[in-house]
Amino acid sequence: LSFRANGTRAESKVKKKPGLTKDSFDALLNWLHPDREMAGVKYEEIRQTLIKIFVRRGCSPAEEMADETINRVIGKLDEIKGTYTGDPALYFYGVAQNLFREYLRKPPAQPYVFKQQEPEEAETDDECLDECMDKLPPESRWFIIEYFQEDKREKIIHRKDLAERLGITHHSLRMRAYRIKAILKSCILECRKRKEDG
Amino acid sequence: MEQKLNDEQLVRRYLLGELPEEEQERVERQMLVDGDYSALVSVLEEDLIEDYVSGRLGAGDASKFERVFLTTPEGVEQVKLARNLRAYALKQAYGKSPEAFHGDSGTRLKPISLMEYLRSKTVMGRFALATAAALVVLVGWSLVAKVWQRQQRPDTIRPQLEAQLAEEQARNEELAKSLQQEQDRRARLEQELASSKNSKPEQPLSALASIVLSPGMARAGGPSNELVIKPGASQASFRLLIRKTSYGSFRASINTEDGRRVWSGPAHLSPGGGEVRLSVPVNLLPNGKYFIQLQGAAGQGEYQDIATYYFTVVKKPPG
Repeated sequence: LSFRANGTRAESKVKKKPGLTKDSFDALLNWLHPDREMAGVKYEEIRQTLIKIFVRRGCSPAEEMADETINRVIGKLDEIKGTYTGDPALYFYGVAQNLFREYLRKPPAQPYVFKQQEPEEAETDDECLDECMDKLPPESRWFIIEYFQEDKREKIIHRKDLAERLGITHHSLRMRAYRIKAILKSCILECRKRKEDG
Repeated sequence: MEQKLNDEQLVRRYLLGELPEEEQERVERQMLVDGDYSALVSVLEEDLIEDYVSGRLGAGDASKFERVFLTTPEGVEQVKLARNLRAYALKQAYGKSPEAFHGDSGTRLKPISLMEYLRSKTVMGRFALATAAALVVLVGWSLVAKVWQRQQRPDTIRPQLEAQLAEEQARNEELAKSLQQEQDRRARLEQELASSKNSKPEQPLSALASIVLSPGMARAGGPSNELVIKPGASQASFRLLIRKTSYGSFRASINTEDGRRVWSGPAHLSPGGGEVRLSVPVNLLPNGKYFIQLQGAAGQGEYQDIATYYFTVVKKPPG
């Protein structure tokens, strides 16, 4: 299943988690929304938000914990889908809370340790950033360069001016930057993986 | 608007891990059920990361930020992307024409004014010069007074006054000689300053490693931004080229390329302008890539970003 993620131009893919059957995954999507496309959007929103929540709580790896949360919800689906009322996203939250408590009781044997980036990695990142910036439409590339020029003047004043020049609100300006950065991030991750794979 | 501002402050506190558990859960639940709210959190998170990589967070917030964001690979990735994007944007803006960024080079190389010279001198030097100048004025005024008195008094005291006058003239000559020596020293210093600015690269002393950096340049590294630290060096001296600026005082922070702050402190504008200088113990700088965030005082305790400088530390092994 492939869809446009929440209004951005980034192409996302809903990936079925290992160990899940197609039927159980379909059941989850049906529970989230009767429309398959909307269900996909909702699923990806929940997953991304769960990752953010686990990251903010210092859990590592956050992505695996988000997926484990989803797996557990799927495992409970038969029990709850007839009786649970309210937004399904909140059920995910309850399960995530339980998983977080387990994490606190039994933290990973090898917690994440921040380390300096190797020069080769930095070089790859630079190359990927150049490549991904080149792939952006010219107006997006111009925008992101201009957006980060706050060294010239104080950030708030600079961005207010930029919003006025573009005829958009400050909030829209920030959203536009966020969306372009999301596209770049996705592009860079793909580029990096491609280079690592040789 | 007020509510929105409050929301933003609340979210910022959430992102820094400052909220009590109950409020944290309220924010997280809202993120899950409200796409717009979740987007707001994401946008504010990006803002916070930008503030961190550009050195705009205070020490307390920076520390909280690091506890939250630099303890997971996902958080580190976010910081890395923001830093790289910022560097890319600055390179695009300044990288192609660094000479434009340096502003009027004539301004930097012109002879310094007397006031600049006075500012550049040591406290003792300034005291000596000021004392000499004050004495010359005092003696001059005293001579005028004596001449005026002589005109008013009878001839009986004239020989006595003439003797005093001769004595004071001798003293005056001595002081004038001291002043002349001081002025000669000033001229020599000006000459040295001008010649060091014109051509001579800074000669590193054995205990000093030094580097001249242009803003936003050579993010990927290279000989031009390598700070080579020889065995025995204790201090690293940085000369950061800047455009003409109206800031009165400066501060800087040195950060690893992943955004971890290793040093922060005051930086000083060179007497001729055009560059800001700072000095850092080399033991704070292991081999690796760094960036310096330079800020200027904007009044009322506020600082504004001026420029970012990238460099790589290369420590030479003994022998």
